[in-house]
Amino acid sequence: MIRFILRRVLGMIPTLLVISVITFALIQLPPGDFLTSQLEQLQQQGEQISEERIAALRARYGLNQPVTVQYFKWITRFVQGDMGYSFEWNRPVNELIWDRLGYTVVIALGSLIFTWIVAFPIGIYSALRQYSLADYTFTTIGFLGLSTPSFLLAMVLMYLGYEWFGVSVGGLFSPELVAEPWSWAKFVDLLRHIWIPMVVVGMAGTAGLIRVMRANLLDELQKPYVITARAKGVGPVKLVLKYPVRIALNPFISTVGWMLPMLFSGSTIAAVVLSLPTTGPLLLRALMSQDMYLAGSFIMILSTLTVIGTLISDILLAWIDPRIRYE
Amino acid sequence: MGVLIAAARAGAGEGIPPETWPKSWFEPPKTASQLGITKFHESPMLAREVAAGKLPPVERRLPADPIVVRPLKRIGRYGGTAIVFTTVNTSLGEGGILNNVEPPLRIGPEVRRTLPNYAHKWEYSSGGRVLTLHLRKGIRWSDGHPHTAADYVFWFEKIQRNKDITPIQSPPWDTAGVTAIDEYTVRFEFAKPNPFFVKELAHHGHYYCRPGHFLKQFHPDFVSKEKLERDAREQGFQDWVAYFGQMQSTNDPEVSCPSLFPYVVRQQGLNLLLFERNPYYPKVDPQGNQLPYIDRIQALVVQNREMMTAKACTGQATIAGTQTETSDIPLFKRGERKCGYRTYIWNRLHGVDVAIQPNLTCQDLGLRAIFRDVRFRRALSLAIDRTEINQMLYFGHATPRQTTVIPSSRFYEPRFAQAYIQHDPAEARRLLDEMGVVDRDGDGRRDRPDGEPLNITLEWTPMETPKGPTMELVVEHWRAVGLDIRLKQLTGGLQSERARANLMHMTLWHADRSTDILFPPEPFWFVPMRRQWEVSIWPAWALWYLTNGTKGEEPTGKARDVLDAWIEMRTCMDDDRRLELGKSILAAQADQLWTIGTVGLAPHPLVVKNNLHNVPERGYWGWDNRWSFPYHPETWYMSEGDG
Repeated sequence: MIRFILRRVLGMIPTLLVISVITFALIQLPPGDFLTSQLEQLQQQGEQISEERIAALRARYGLNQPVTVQYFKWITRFVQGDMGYSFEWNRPVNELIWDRLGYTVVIALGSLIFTWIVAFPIGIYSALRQYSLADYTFTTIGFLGLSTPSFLLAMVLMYLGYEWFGVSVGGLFSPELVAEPWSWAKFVDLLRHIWIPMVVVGMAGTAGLIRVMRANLLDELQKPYVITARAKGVGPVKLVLKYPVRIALNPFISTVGWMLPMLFSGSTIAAVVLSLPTTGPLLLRALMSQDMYLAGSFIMILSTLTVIGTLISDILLAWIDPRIRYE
Repeated sequence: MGVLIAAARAGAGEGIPPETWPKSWFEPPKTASQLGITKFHESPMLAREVAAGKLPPVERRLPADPIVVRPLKRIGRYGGTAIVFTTVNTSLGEGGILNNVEPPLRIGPEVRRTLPNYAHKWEYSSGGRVLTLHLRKGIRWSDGHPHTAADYVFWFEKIQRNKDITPIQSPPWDTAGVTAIDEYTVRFEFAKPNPFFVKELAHHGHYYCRPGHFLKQFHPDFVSKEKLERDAREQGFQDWVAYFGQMQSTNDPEVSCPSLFPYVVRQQGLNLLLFERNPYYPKVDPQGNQLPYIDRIQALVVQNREMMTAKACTGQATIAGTQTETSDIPLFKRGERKCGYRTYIWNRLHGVDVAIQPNLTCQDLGLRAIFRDVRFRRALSLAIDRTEINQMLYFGHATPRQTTVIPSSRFYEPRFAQAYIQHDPAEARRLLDEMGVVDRDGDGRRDRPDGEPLNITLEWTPMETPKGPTMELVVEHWRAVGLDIRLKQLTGGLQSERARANLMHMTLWHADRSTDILFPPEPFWFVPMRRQWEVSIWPAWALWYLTNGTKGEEPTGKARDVLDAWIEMRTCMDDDRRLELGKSILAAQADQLWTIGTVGLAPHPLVVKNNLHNVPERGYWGWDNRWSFPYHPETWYMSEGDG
């Protein structure tokens, strides 16, 4: 097991290197990005001070050095946790991202839990009672959930939340409570708002998971070992949960790693529509302003998390399903 | 239907009757001694701080003879927190409607006259070369430090004249001088007469004075540059100039640069910005109550303007107006009763809501040649179906117009507004054919005369006015005459850098500066005299003017003529001659179409919560009068409950 993990960790290094090169290329690529626009602007002023500022900017970002040197400068700083400078916000990238990470993780974890709580029981039920009325109902809802774009769902839920429950549209708190320190009332207010993003972000995943769970479990339930167990008089709950469900879980576990980048990026479109203070809208804005250090740092972090997530999935799979071999 | 009638009444450039506002708003403000007010009162919020010994009593905070402002309807009640929305946590956003500026002079409600404010008097001498400003005694910054003539001198010597902070020394300041005659008298001396400086003092005169007592801690004339550079790095700034810039922020509670406005920043979070009343605000109401009435402004951050509209139409905003559209009026009207607010229809001051600007000094020489051909600009204008825009986005209540001043301006002539606004795609095609911009490769799109494909990108940023929806229509109109122009949306920051760096093919903005307040001093839609984020008609020519011919390119042809006309106009003390020159500039625009107009003079909705009072039902809305500035937002108040 340890050798397996080690080998996988070592395997990550070249992947990450390639990703970093691609990310750096992305930072360098766009003509007219924020930094070059700023340099051009300073150049036109042409006074002594702007010459100095141009020189300082060039030195800081190594613009007068070969591309390889610029790359190494960037990557060594990145590894040390200095993600560069956001030109549009005039602040270090680290600050901007950390500020927004808390809510992002809470919403993503919440929607993950929502997904599991809803999808597992329904998936199991649908498989056990295949072609029943409930199965058809859940299937219909599931397909609707799969095909509804999250931004549309967000708008519908916001409208209903407002019309039926009087929940203020958009954001995570009622306007009166945003500035207040944390209290029970504020926590309740947060719960009243946060279900909308959780449902919106979790919905598509839930629908997908129900389908996967149902299909896998149906496959397993036909297998001889289940029939044998049933013939030997194993209780119905134990019969389903002990082996078939465990095996049906494999596709979940192999994708659980993808949750990691999702935790970080939030669901960008839903966050924009719902006006959430998460990292997703920040990434979108960075791309629109061609604030390339901010955007590049985002992409690098997301890719790294995807790679780490995949590793976690592999380890979990190997642990849960001993049939997967380490070689 | 009532909505549309209300909109019709408000729209189309007719003036608002002056009886709408109190008579005293048109006159120089009276002071407490003139009205016999001797006793002053303050908000309970401040009274508590006085009792706790944290603040001096109200009489010692107010000037000896404070300015008295009459509220629109009635004396207000103290207290309340106004809730407004913004898209970034570094700006009050809609809160600017309530926390408006306080320049030395102010603008009348009809947006024509200038009136005294923090200065009680001004006079020109030496044939218009010298302007003397007499400040009121005893006005204080929000930290209690006296506001004096020294604050103007600090701005001039330490900021305007500092080459690091202001690398380009432009006219008229390159040859000007600012001195303090005594503690309360400022003397501005220019090399040539400067008749429009009064208008600038009334619109953004607060810009010319800075709290020197606070800012000198961060200025290299008072602290060593090494220490400043070190501090700047530690705080995460590129250099001391950026650091000094941030230290002037009145939106950052950790900086809290002293202010002269009604509110000061108290708290900043990821999602909010909280302002509280300025305890030293020098104005009172006719009963001696220190203004403003409302204690706090809380700005909450949302991601985009659509969400601001959603917040407004569900009654969550105390006031909303900076991002509202004419097309939102039915939506706002529908929510009024259920959500407890009123929709007021004001008149937008923009000459046109979308002013399209081809870059005549574009770095792409092929495009430059095409843009400089007046036939191309006329074709762009003639191809636009303004009636369709007006019907689809304004219910027909805006006015199809060319970019020019609004009808209430002294410089206005109807022919300026009507030039090349008819929808005539056949003539547009003919003009393009005539100049050789024809389809050469048979792909249905016109190409350059040299055979290269004609690739034009129009870069823009969404803010105020319906720029996106308008351009979706305009691009289709242009496509109908064979012009394929691509739209690219930018954020404000990038737009600013790219405009000033002369990197754009085309851009657009709304044509503010179309009134008698800002058209004369800043006619940058018609004259190459400014280089800033919203204008990219001729950045290289403007740079030439701004650097006295040392940088950029010398303007040629008609553009040179209008520049010369404006230089004469801004230094001319003869009013008739100024009128003549101003009209010649606008006549040149009507002929040359430096910037292409769409529709303008639109009705503008303002969403006012039922518990907010003293807001005029009608007013003018635009940058030229800073939206709410002439209507004394410090006298607006909130009643308890929902009003």
